[in-house]
Amino acid sequence: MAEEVKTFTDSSPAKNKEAPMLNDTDLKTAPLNEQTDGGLRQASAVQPIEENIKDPNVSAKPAIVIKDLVKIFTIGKEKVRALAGINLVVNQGEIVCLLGTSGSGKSTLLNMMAGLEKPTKGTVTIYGERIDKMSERKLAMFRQKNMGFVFQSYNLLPNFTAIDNVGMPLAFSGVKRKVRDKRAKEMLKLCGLGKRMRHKPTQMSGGQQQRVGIARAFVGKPKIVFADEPTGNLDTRTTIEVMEMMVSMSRENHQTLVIVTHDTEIAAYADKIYHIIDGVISSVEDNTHKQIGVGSEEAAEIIRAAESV
Amino acid sequence: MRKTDVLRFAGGNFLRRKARSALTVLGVIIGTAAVVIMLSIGIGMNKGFEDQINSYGNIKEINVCERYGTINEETGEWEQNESRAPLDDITLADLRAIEGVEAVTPKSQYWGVMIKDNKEKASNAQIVGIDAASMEDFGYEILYGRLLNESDIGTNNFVMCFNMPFYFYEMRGGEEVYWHDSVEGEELPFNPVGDYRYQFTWYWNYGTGAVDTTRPRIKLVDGKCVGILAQKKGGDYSQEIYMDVKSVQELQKTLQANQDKYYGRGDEPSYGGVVVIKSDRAVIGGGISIGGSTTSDTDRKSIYDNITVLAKDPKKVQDIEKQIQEMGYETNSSMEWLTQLQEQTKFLRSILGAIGVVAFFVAAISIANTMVMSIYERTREIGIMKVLGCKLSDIRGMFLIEAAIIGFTGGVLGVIFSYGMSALVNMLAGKGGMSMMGIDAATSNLSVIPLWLDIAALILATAVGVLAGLYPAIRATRLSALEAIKNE
Repeated sequence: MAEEVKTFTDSSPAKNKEAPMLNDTDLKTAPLNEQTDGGLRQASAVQPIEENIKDPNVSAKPAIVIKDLVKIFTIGKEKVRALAGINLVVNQGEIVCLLGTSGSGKSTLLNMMAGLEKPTKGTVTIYGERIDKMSERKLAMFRQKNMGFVFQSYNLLPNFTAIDNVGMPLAFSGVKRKVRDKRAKEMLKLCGLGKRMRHKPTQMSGGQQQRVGIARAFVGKPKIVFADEPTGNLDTRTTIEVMEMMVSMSRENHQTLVIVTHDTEIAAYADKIYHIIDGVISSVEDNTHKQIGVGSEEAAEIIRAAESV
Repeated sequence: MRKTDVLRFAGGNFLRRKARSALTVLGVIIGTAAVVIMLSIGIGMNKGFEDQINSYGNIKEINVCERYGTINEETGEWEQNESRAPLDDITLADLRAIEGVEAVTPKSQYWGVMIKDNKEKASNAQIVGIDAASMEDFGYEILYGRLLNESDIGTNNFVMCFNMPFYFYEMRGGEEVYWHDSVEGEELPFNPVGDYRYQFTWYWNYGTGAVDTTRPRIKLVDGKCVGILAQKKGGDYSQEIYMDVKSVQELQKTLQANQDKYYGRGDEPSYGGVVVIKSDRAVIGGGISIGGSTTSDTDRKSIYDNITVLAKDPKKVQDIEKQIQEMGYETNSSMEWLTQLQEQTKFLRSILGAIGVVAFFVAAISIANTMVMSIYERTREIGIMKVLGCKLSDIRGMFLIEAAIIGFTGGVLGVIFSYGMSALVNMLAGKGGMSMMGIDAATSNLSVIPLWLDIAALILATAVGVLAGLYPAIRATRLSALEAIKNE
């Protein structure tokens, strides 16, 4: 990690011509952007994170605090800037959507929030802990306790039954088989898979697999659930089902849900939508007023519209 | 993660790819069996030497006799010792005091002849006087009756070796000799314990080939056969009769005196012997006394021909021998010979071992290969587990345990397989009358698998499994979770 940072500081702005140009106007719309200023000269600007949170409309406890996040991938001799100074705060219980086209850097941002990737610069703080600085071991423990994941391609283990798949995060945190099987069953029932508990992923449809995935993400009651294009492989009706399930579950337990998608219809479920273009947050949309409610008429409308085609 | 869960995950992976697991295990089976078989042949060879040498004399035994002289190292000439360390009861006590000595017995030997069936059949016999109480310690095995023990001290009770009844030959027929060495497992031609009465005498008319018991004043001393020894393995050629050493010496004195008194010694050699009586048909045997006596600078005199020392541990034999030599005695043991034989075959044995090790090494590579392949296949799975918060140590544990399962299963089956192979080798070698390095395959097994070899092979197989799994396991933990999930 240290090396990467070094490479970065060495490459002064002049050298960074290959990186995508930053759009200053876009940066201004992002919160906390007073200091970003291209986001490149702030490697040494280490300040207590708390002080920097000036988001006015949230009094709730911040769950994820991201500051000046920069990620540069080096592919061969070329340096590609995937993230160019991201600042954002996600509060506990908030449903947030990172909306952007492919290649916009939204998935990279999610990966860094989850500690799956190390940033080139900047910090990711979750519940006051700097996860960008954590060792792999600590991260594993941290993910075990605090995070759930829903993936686009479900990522279920093919040789395990639905119960075993759902119980897996519990197994990793040392829960007894009996206990975790019971909890997995409850979770699967909640997801409407009561009759599919002993099926393996290959014996289930995409929607069912994704529901297993959701059950797995929520079974350990994590504080944060990350969903990376959770409906990318699903049809519209299933998409709505899956989205409603995730949203209602996270609402119920006051869990933070971070959804990454390119689909504006999915984004409509979020409280807040971050539009990401070329590695920066181009705009933030407070969606609480025009939000689609779970089981609402809008949802039904979307389904009807999709199926009438 | 709970240990049982790590184990369950590892076991699940092992069982999931049945064909591949089976093939890898097969590799370990062959490796383990190769090592075990090769080493077992080496061990069998050593065991064969031991058996062979044991059939001539116990390898834990050290024979101690007087040192009559030494060869001068400079001149190469034989130099007689002026005075010699004697073999007496003090010596016995001294020898017993040496560390690592299990038992000590004095020996006095007399050549004798056993006569039976109305003086018609005779058999050569060596009458060996030993410490009756030590017979059990020296590992004599009894077939009928009992071994000599403390109660036999001072009596004329004796124990006969297995071969004696086979060695009787027709004395008067001249040509007709029908004695033979006993074949392994052969039944005794007659029971020498119950059916016969025995008497010792000192007169033996060797010239005419007959014993004249009618001559006056022949002193007959009663003896009693209390047991017969079991047949020795690998060919029994012994011809001994064992008796308490003091009794033999006493007997010799008595009979000698009788002989001298009535028949005069003159220049003729004196004879001693045993009479064997069945019902009323008495036959007499006799022999030449070879008992020696010696002088020393002290008052002590040798009263025994030699002394046999039994070591607790064959490995200590040469140590003990050295100490006895320092006391001024000559020693010899089968161990010396055995060590030489084993030294000579060391090279052959190490080549056999090397072949086994190579096979094992191939098996280890095969385990490593399987585990690496497994990681390639399961890259995604490992990635998912990492993202879901599986600890690195648990992932490593899963792979190590899977590798250990392969090693252990292969080890167990390999050991079982090697028993079959070993039996086959022994059968073929036995049938073919094959003899290796002078060991007769018919009497000694070519391949011997001791228990420690099994256990060692099992531990080794498991350890090799774990070692071979180490690199793949570490590799698995180093996989980037993100990369793993990305690959579709």
